[in-house]
Amino acid sequence: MSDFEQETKLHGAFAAFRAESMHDVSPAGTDAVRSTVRHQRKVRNIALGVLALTVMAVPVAAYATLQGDPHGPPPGVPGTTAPVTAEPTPVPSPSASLDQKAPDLPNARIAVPGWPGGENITKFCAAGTYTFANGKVVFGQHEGYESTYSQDTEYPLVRADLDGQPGDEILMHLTCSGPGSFHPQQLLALKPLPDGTVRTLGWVIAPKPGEIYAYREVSVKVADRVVSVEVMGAYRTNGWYTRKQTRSYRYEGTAFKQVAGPTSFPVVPSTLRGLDLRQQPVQVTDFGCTGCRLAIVNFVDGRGSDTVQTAFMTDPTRVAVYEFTIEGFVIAGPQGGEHALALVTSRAPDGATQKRVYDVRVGTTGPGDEFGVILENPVAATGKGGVTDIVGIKAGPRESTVEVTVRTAAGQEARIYQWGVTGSQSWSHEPS
Amino acid sequence: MVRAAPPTEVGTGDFEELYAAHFHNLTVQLYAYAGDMGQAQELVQEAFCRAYSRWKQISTYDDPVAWVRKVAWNLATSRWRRARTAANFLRKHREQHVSAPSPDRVALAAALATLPEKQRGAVVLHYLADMPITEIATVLGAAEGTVKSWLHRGRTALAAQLSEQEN
Repeated sequence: MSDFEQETKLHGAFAAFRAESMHDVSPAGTDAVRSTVRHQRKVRNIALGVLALTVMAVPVAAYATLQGDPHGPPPGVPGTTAPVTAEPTPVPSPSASLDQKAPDLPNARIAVPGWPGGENITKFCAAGTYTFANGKVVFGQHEGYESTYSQDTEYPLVRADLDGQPGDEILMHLTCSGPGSFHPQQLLALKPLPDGTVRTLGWVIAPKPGEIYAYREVSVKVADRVVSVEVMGAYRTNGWYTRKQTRSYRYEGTAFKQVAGPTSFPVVPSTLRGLDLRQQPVQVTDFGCTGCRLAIVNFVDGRGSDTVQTAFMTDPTRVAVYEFTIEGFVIAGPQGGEHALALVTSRAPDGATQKRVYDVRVGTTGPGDEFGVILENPVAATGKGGVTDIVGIKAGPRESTVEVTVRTAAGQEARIYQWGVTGSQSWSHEPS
Repeated sequence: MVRAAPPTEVGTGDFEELYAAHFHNLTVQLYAYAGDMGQAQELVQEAFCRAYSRWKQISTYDDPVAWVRKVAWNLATSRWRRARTAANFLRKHREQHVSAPSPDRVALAAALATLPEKQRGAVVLHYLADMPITEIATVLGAAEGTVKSWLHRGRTALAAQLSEQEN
């Protein structure tokens, strides 16, 4: 092969790689950037405050030592307060008997059942009884990489009666990690025993053999021994999830069985043509929720909502319900493929509403890649660029164009957005 | 282009535009380099966070995205130094129920994963970021001659790998 042929071949391979991989990228958005920076500044300020207290405390302590003061620093002086970095105290389950020893889960010996996933997951995430240390255990090597199980500490453990016996059981998020993007997670039920050890009841989410479902940790709830959880479809190493279903499971003596909710997922659309966006499960990104990553909304008659998870996993209580309404949907094409814009109103928990015109993407990138419908990269939004309202959208004057009517301080104007100007894979606002 | 005056506050439209225009490309470059799409996204997001916190300064740069790329690349290099065969892993561990990239993408990812770290970086920046040798040298912190050498060896090895996989 000549150098020219080699170079041509590599350029072609990388161009295809780039084109395909671009579809898997789902930005967290600039709102997430802003909230992260705010959070980091807040943490830094707190850290600086602690440092200042420490600096002040040292001379006070030294003074007490040098003067032989038997009482130490007087009350109220920095340095006499309780330690800032006190270890969290385990809170025993209210229903646990008084003589029962609380399990030390991060350092417990836990029997991990066989994973119900496909051949490789089952092979890689080995069943066995492992002794954890600080919530983690390395249980093997695979092609030079460590295989680990880790307990997800980003969300509080759920404690509730699952087996009908005295005492509460524990639901733990357990992640099996290998190299690359391989991090399947399962919900594991454990029964605390009086001696402080735990007995494994089993995996809660029990789809058909050969399947592992991704689920939303924050959605796990228990009522009357029934565990309900939002599942998002088969676990995968690439892409994002666009569907959610609430399914319920109950422990039936030897294993968990599904007792409510759908038992299968509908096929996601593979094309925008004929798509009824108002009746679709849809992933929405960049919707003005500070610190939130994305929402999955099951639209029915153009309306839907989602309890979204915060990006700040250190604060697991931060969840919020956002409501969404599809106000308009325009497919523009066929030049360069199918492309669409949707006008969506989002309503925050505090009642604040915003409108955005999103790029609509069907994320199917190949056989088996059923990523579903995604709303992303808003081309217009209220509160940005002087836009005070978005009145509507309709087909534009030419192929691959959409007309968006916005209101600004200067009045109402029709803006034309065109897909694929000068070969770009995005919408461009035509100057008026 | 050097802007006449820095923005008076962070969070201007310039940052939004920079993010929208470059997040995807940067993520794909890091994904090719490290073999993990999810972590590539997180690192690019982190790089943009760092840019945002210094936006008054960075927005005055001729090429702000170069700063973001450099930060993301540094993060990737430090965090994934040992992730040499991630893409190879992905190829070998495709699950029936796990969405699979196309065979060509898998083949290229697998081939990239076999390259030494420096060669892989040079190749990715050349073919995916379309960067000239001088800029690659800046990102990778190496002399231009060294980058040329990495690039030459990397592309030769890649071509051989891909041909081998075809046969």
